[in-house]
Amino acid sequence: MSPVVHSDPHWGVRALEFVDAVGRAPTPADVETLFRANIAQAGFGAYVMCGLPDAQTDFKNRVLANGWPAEWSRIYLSENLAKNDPVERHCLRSVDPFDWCNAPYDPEAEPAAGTVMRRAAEFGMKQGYCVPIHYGDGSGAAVSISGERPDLGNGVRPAMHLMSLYAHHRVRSLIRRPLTDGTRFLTDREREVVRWALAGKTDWEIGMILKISERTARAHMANAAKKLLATNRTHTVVQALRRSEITL
Amino acid sequence: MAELHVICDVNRHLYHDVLEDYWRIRHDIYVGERRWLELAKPDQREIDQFDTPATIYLMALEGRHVVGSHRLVPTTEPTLMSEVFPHLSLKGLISQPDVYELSRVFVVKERRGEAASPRIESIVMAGTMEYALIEELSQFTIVMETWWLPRFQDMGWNPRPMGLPVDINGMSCVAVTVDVTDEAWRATCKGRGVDGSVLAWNGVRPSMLLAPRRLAKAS
Repeated sequence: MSPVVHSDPHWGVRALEFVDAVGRAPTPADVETLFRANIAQAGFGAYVMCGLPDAQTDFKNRVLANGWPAEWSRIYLSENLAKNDPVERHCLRSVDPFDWCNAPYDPEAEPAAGTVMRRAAEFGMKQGYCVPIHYGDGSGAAVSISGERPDLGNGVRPAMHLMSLYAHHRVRSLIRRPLTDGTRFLTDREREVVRWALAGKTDWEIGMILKISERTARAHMANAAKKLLATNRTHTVVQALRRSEITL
Repeated sequence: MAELHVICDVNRHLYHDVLEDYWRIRHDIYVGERRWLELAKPDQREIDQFDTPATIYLMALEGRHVVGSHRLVPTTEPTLMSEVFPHLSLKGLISQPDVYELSRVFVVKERRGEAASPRIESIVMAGTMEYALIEELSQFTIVMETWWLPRFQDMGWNPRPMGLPVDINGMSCVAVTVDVTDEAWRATCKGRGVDGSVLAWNGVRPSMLLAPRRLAKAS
């Protein structure tokens, strides 16, 4: 038997079929099952979908779908590795997908960045491919997939690119409850905190201004984000503006 | 607020000044900013083979100032897809009287990224869908930079790929179809602060342009 050659048409057809199927997936879990099975065909065993990083939103609150090894996920969260992750950072700078190895960092000046990559490799996440998503209003997301030795041959990257975009969009649409028109649902305090966030204030500064603790300010911000189905601070402010919870 | 003017062969005599500005703005944006140097023209007017009497321009105007635009080319005529990028489709080409190709979408530099709602780009996008609904188009085809896909999805449009993304001059591009639906139009309006109709019809009525198509359908 001759070995299977993953040529362009093969991955093209597969990706288009995936786009159709994922659009009909009834729940986020179904989307993930489909996605997991398809990226596995190219040797990608792990994935994560999350909102773009910003200075003040915990990684935990940005994650949309987590297909990482459980132990890696635990370490990444508890040690806040997102802070030094060069892949995360590069998503903010790139509109195009990139291989993990092309996320730049200076090994001398930023040893912590190299450590994140090395420790990920210990969990079988040796090579990865990351698809940044930018909505043009400052908000965005990323889908990052990885494996021991994934096939990055002809046609695989574009197929992974397309599948990542559509899987992410479907998950995002499914977890977004329909928001009824004209209903405001932030509390007065949450609205106040978001308004200060719009003015560029940090949680600490907001705490000082409103005479509450930084922790409380952060909690209000997190609640507002949850209610507005936002993935990070910028997204929260944008959603609040769009829904007329706050005005410019 | 800017209005989106429908300009075509029937009423272009009313828009001479606007169209002159339009060609130059296209040159500034596509040759100057985006460096598509093969489009460069000595007279600084960017006009290509898809600017024909069959082409429809949706022009966002403030007074007589062009602030944004979208171009519609019937797929029964040569299109970017059919002439330049046929390899972007694994599903063959679409040539149907009720399917138009969208291209050359832009907002002038000084009006991008505004916080005020609705943004010019929202007016252009909502108006494009509105136009297609009024003219009973069924689909658009679009060759776009792949990183724009999520923006279309976020707007409530339903872009479906015709093939895999392909690198074109260092940019990942993809061909998609988008269904023309009332839902998509409403989602765009609702999500982007567009109150309703944004179209202006001067010297042209809906369906005048597409009369041959209607007749063909009827016969």
